[in-house]
Amino acid sequence: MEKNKVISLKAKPNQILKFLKIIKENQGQIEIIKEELHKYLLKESLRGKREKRNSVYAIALPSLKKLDLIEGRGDKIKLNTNGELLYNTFTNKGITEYKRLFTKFLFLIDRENCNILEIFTNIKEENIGFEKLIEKLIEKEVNTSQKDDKIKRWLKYLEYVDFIEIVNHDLKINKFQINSVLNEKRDVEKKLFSKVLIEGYKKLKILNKGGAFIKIPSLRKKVCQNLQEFNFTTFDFDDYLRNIWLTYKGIIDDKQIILSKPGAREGKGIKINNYYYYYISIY
Amino acid sequence: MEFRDYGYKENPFNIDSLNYEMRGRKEELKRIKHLLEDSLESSGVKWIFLLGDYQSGKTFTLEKITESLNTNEYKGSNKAIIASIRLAESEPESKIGKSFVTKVFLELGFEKLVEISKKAKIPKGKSFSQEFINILDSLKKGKKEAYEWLTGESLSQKEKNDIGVKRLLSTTSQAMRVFYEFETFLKICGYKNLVILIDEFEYLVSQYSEKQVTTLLHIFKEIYDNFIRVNTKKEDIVNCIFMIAMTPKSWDYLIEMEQKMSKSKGGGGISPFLERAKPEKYLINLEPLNKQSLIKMIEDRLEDKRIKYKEFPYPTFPFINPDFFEFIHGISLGIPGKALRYSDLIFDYASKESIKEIGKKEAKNILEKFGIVPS
Repeated sequence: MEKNKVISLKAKPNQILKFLKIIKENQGQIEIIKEELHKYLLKESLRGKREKRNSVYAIALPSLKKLDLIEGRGDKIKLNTNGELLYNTFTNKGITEYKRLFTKFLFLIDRENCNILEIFTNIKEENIGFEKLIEKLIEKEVNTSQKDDKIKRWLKYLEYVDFIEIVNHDLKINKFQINSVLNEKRDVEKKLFSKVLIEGYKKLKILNKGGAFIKIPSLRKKVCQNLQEFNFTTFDFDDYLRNIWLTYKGIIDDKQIILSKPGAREGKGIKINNYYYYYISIY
Repeated sequence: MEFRDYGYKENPFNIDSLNYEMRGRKEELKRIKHLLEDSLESSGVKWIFLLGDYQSGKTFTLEKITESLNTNEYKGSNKAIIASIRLAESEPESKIGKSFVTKVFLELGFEKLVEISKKAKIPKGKSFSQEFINILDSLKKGKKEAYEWLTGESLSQKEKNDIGVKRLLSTTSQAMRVFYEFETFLKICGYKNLVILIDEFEYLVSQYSEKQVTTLLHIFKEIYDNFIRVNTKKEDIVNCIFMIAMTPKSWDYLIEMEQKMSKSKGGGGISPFLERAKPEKYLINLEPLNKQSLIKMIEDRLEDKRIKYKEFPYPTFPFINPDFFEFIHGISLGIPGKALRYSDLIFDYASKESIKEIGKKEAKNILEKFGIVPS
């Protein structure tokens, strides 16, 4: 079992929307994207000093990648399914709906990585000091320390969407916010998901020249594309697959799903109960 | 408690032998039989890919195929010569083509090569190199140095003189020439097929560079093309049938490399190999075992290690049937290696803790301690 990692984000949570806008509006023109991202971050900088390379390659793009909102490199950088959805939600429905969706994304990212929200929810005390929280996280195999900057930055994200708040220098968890994500009504029924999953798997198996082990990132993309009309995100995919794996022992429509580990370090698989899977096969 | 107290000579889940019956896999074995018999009875070079996750029983399956070939269970296998090679046996070598050929000779072994060399004389008019003829003559005389030369070993000048070779087998092109001559000689001896079973292909893709992997696949492609060249000239050569077991990662590697090379080199490199190999037809996925087969697989091991002269409350004691077995099937998802590993952990722990009987509850508690099932 690997330790739970804390996602490292250099950008501030309120900067994400602007990044999405810049990339969407200048898709295919990487130099303009880089220029605009830098200009924006320079304006945001308290010291008024920042290197362009740092703005683009240390702050903006890595943060968007880690939040799983963009894909591609160079001129091919663009918003992925999740990024498009978030951007369109803001454009069509405004900032409240944008934040509601971002809340859901952050919840799922947290669960994929360090799982702070669940650990925090299970702590008896309602309010807890930062140092105490770190101790609890370390106890639960989270790879962090008292001096860890990454965790402080991640907590800022959780605070941005009201999962946590600061009360008298202590951290407090808002369980209602977590419950609202957990109890959100799903538009895609399990049956439909299963059907699209199996169809997508079969198509990818053909492209894989008959090899039964399909990369989860490929299938995830395929399923999300086919469920686009339901605003189905990659996070939703992980959530549904995790649910099938844990609740239904991987059985859908009389078929058995098998998740397998990667042969080497491969990104964008799925983490379930601290195990990391990269391939899926259906029998 | 010791394993003996439970009625076993030793821990039945130790993987100490492949000498068990193959359980389940009826569909896969049927397909393997069909593809192998078709390849053994037709002419040409074929590749059969066996794709399976870690611990899914690839080595075990290859072993069973070798057994079936050796006992002539497949039509056409009586005229086949079998070499089962493992790519992971040694450190990566710089000349991958030469390494492949020498591994084939190493696997065939000295005695088999001597036996082959005695089977026939080279008919007049057949164009063999003097070097190969000398090696065959030396093998006939039982000279070990000839075998050492074929396996790429270093020889002294005196030893080289003694078997009539001027240089060592040191380059890939030289090794391939010897391989082709060997294929032709096998046909003269009355063989029809050379079956090469390759295990742990993943070792190749993880240890060798992309260039080296492409070189080996190019050699495989050359073996295919050489057969066609020779056959076109109405000359004789044995069929070469490859059976390659690999993990999903290795398969991915091949598919990705093909796509990458198609873009950068317009299809060069691996594409010609995959086009000839036709994996769409010749690929077999090793599926998980169903519950019944997995239970049988465990029962085989329990029976094999059971002390015969004592009586025990029930045949699978201390494993409660079906409680324990159903749990193991569920947790391992039918992957045989996983089922054995988990059973091993459970039994080992249970014996240390003197647990008298093992059902789902006990098994789950133990695996929780190892973090295999969430507590």
